[in-house]
Amino acid sequence: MKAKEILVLLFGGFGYIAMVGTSHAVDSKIHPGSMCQAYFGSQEASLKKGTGWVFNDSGGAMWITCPVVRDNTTNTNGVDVAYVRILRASTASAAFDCTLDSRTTTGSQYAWDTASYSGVGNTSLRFDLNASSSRGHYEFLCRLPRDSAIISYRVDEY
Amino acid sequence: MYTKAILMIIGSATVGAVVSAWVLDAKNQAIIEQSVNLPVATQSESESYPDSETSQLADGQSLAVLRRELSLLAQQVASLEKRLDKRNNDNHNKGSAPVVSVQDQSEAENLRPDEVLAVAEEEAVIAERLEYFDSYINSESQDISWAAEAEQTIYNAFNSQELLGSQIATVDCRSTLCRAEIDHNSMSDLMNFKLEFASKVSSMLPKGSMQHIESSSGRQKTIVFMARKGHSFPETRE
Repeated sequence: MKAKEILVLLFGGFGYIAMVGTSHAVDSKIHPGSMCQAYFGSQEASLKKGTGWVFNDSGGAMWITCPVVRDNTTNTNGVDVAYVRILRASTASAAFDCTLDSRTTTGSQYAWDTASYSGVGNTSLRFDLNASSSRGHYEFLCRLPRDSAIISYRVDEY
Repeated sequence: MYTKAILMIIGSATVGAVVSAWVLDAKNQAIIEQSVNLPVATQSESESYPDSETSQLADGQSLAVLRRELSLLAQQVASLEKRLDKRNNDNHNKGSAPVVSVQDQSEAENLRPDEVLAVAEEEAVIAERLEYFDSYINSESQDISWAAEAEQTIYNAFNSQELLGSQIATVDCRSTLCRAEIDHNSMSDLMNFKLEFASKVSSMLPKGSMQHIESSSGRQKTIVFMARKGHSFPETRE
């Protein structure tokens, strides 16, 4: 009788752990900043990509686009959370702006979330995107101030 | 005598019916495979039916399944075309650009029928989402001080050099959502808007969604919905 109770508790426990584990499962990916590219191709030469970072050496702010590899291609509730790890230089004048876009199959902006930083040094920008277009894609679009960098960016998908 | 003749007629009619049914089945199979591009049974699938009688039975069953699927697909396409036609008519009445029909899209992009259906369904979902935001914002009460500040933020964005080629047609902020219609002088101005706008209003309105429309006069227009900081867009009916 006692052994039976222990077995029931043991299997119940395993079942609970499996259920909790599944319901909170996220697909987390961290991309190096060097995956980003200049929005305007003519500025690509001013983007330095060393040690996985992307650094703006142009002397002014510039727009860059950072691709996200989407695993869950059909969900419509966005992503669990996303971050961009940045470094804003003391010589920067523009704010460090980033937008996480969910695009449709035709490239339209289905939903976005924007974050901004005007301080100096390292920080993480956080994004909550609660809608996404089925079969569309995600991307970050950032205004990178002068002498500033994106170190990496992370997307946790459902 | 009569009985013999009747039996002969019935016999030849039966043989004729069997032969024509077999020919029709073979033709239909070829037509279905050509037009729908459905997967053909592989060698290993055929090998799993070694007995010829079983094989004929399985072919007959799979043909019936294929016919049923074809009929269902045809119904789905007809239903989606009807919805797109309705939307085209609505857009025409509003002076908006028509949505591409399923057939046009298939021809233009050389998509398979299932892919055309998926794209059409997605377009319908996107349009329904914006329609839902429209009805939602109309039902929202107005937080006067926040709405005034949010609308001013949107207007201020258009004072910048980058957005000089775009003009606000309408702005309406309530308590958690704003809706704006923006006209663009050219496609290039539209691209600038898409790049610059979100960051210019993000202090108050960090979340957004937009739809681009080309009016019948060829003018570029964008409808933008934005959500108040700390709020998300309302859940759509899915």
